[in-house]
Amino acid sequence: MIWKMTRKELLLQLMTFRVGAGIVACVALTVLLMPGLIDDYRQRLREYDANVAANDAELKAAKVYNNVTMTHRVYRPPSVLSVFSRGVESQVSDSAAIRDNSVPEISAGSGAANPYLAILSKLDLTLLYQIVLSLLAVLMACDAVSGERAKGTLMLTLSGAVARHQVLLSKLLAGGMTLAIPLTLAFLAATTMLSLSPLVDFTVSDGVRLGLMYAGSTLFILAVYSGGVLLSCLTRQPVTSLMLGLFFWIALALIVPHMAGYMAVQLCPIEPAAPLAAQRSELERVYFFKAGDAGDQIPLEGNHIGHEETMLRRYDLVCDPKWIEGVVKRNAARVPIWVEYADKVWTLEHQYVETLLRQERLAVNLSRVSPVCVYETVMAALAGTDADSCRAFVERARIHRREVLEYIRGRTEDYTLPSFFTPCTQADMAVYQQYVDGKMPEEEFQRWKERRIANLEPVDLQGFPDFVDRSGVLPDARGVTMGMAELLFFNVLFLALSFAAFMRYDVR
Amino acid sequence: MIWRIVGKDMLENTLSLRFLLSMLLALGLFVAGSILFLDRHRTQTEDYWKQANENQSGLRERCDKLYRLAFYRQEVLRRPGALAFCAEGSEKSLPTLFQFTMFTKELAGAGGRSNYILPHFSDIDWAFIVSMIFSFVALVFTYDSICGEKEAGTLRLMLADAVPRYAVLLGKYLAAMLTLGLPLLVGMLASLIVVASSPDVALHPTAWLRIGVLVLLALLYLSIFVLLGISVSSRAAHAANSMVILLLCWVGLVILVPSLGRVVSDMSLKGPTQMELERNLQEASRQVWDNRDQYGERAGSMSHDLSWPGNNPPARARLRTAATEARNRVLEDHHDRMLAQVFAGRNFTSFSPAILYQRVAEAVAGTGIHHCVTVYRQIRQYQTDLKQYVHSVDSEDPNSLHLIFDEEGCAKSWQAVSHRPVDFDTVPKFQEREPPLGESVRSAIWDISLLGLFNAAFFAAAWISFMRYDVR
Repeated sequence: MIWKMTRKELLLQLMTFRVGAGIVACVALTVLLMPGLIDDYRQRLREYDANVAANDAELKAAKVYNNVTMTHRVYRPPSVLSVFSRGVESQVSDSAAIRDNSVPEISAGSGAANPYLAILSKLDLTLLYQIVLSLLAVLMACDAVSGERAKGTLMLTLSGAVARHQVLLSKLLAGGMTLAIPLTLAFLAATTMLSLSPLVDFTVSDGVRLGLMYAGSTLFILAVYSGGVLLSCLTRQPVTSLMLGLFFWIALALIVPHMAGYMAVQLCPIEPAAPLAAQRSELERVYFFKAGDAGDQIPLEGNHIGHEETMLRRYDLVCDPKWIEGVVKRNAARVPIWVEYADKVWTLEHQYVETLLRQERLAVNLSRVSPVCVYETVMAALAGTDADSCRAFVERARIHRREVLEYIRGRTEDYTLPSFFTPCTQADMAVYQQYVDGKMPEEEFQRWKERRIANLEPVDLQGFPDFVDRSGVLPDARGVTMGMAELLFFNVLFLALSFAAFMRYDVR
Repeated sequence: MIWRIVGKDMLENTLSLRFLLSMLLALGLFVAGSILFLDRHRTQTEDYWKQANENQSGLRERCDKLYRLAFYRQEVLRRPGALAFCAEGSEKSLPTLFQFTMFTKELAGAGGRSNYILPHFSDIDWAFIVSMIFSFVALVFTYDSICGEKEAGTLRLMLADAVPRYAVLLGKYLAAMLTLGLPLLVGMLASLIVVASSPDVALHPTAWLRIGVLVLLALLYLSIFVLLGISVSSRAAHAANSMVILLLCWVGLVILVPSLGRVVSDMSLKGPTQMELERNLQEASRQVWDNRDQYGERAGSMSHDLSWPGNNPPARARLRTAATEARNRVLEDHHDRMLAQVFAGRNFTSFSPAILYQRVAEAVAGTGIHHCVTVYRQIRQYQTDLKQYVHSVDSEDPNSLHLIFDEEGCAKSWQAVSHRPVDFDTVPKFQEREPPLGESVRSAIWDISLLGLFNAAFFAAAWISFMRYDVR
């Protein structure tokens, strides 16, 4: 009986204008928006590849180990699923500098290059499904029960030997199946366009997360539909349930997301950034003098000639033994001070970032009353574009920094080897000594210098730690599980209340 | 006859559930938005005055020597707008801190309490409530204004009674506007009571005039959706179909088109990056320094000992001035490119009445990106005024070399700029000026015209549709 009724409800729904318009709108908008979203993703992917290649080239061109910690950066690859949900990916930096005097931390992203872009809101498929599919679900659900009552067919149906729970279940099943059509078609269209696009590479992990996104979207739509059916079971007129449904939709889809952020800013205020910058400057001043003093206590004698290939790729080309001895001792004294400075600055920055994350978590928690917001959170977590994913990247960057510093420390015997700052060999020292003693003419020395620079071998980076952005199948399993559980809870809650309301519903 | 129809429809609307829900929603949102605004405004105002006082103290401290004043790096925050509760204009996300000396200024940065990790959200200001919520409510009021009456059979009866169609149309339009206007005005009034009764916000007479203009603009905007609702209602055979079409139109005009702005701005114009800026600055500096000889002999060499024969102060001044101007040109160009990228996206979204209304509201309230740009320009003018002041005071000192260029060491050791003290009261101080209301409205005249055009277009559509509507 249930399936007969479900089939009847399904056919009735499919033959309405609203469902047809909803399916067409959902699929058409997905197809229209995807090229722009894919193009944006490919542009970001190209930038990522170019940055990684430039970084690798820079590492290969390093002549001394000091160059590595002047230029090395790691980058977070753009998520292919970011076309479904942009999250906060574009707001947060997608790279981290690996330096001895700074520890990677979350910072403002490329938008900081053009801060005015903040006035333009982002677009992704999650926004489309949040608005279009949820509206369709509300429109379909609002006259599911009260509409039939108004037409008189509900009374006729229940006057037969049909249990109430069967009637309601068939409506819910039919509604769910109807809504699955535009959702499935939209997902198929998006996935097909994405996978057919050049440069886009789907991995198994992406496939699993896409499947979970589909499941999450289904739960979301069903929750909205069940909520609409609940309203329909509480009212006698379809117009009343439609009005209530639409106003609840406004509250949950438009007001709660913005109000949650607004209230989080008021309830969990953050300090201005200016004092942090002042504290950082003060620390820099203190440690600059500390490192300077530590170095100044070591006399620096001798001669050297420095060379600058680029602004950040500098080294002492040739030196005499006295100079090397002095610089080695100074580096051994100064570098640990800069590393200590980095930890102190990071402590300040981390405290500040923690307040930002606290405010963000409060906004997310306040918005949990709305299935629309929970859905957005789940999609961002699955796409790897939420705040927790960004934090995970920075944590991996910090681990990589420790590995790099350990590697350099090992290679230079705790910064005591000349290879940390100069490629100068014994033979080079001999030539330089001849020049200093006046035994080599200036022109000949310049020619030698140019030859030497041209033939310099890059520093040996065998065994250099690789940075792998191991985000895994589920970058934030806990967040995703919680979000899915909440959506399931909304479904169960609305279903249970609908059943309770329908059992007492006056069908006359 | 029109007013009878207006009265009848108004009575029907005000006794309906949707009116009650609209009134409750309006009151709740307007009051909540105002209360939250007050708290934030208080914090922002405290930050602003703290920064302003620190800046003034620094300025006063440096009045002991003119050259110190010339090289003082001032930091100013944008003043928080008293009318931000009407149109916040994404101010929390826009740069607020401006740092500059007499010679150059940095690009504006985030000096406030913005959180770049928080997902983008709009403040619950009047612009949000009117553009998003009330536009939706307008469609809810009008989706069945024609086809609903047709389904009920009353439209046929009305028209059979020699009531002209235009009277019906105008009556319904006026009734919908008045019905919508009630919760809107009640909500705005409640919001104004909350804000005006707070000691933290001072609303001067011009502000009230601006608020009046904002109310009129809100009605102009909502009129678009009322006419849209009526025109679709006069095309649809059933109210359910009308509702679906209108909701799709609303999603497109209010949600999707505004969201396309960022995509368009990224696609149409390559945004300037920080690395590009640094590269351009280095290149500009390198070009000047590589051609330093054209500014005079020994322009590139300098010693703090003025008597050193290698010094050539006038040449040095020309070189450093050229370098400063080159740097300022690069920064100005970068700033213009940033704005161009944003406006490309924003101009595309002019198809959306919601964006037009938000832009107009920001212009009248004195907030948003135009506020940023205005302050940027005012700072540039201030730099010119300060430079003129320093020139005029410096010229009175016979001990000064009268060479005002961006190198503090030389100004100090060579006395290139006067070392005399100056009277703090005569020193120009930066004060942000709010553009007059007329200027604000003029700057938004195109957007207001487009809103009027939307009204005209949908009115024509409603007129034509209803004149040909089959009422049987």
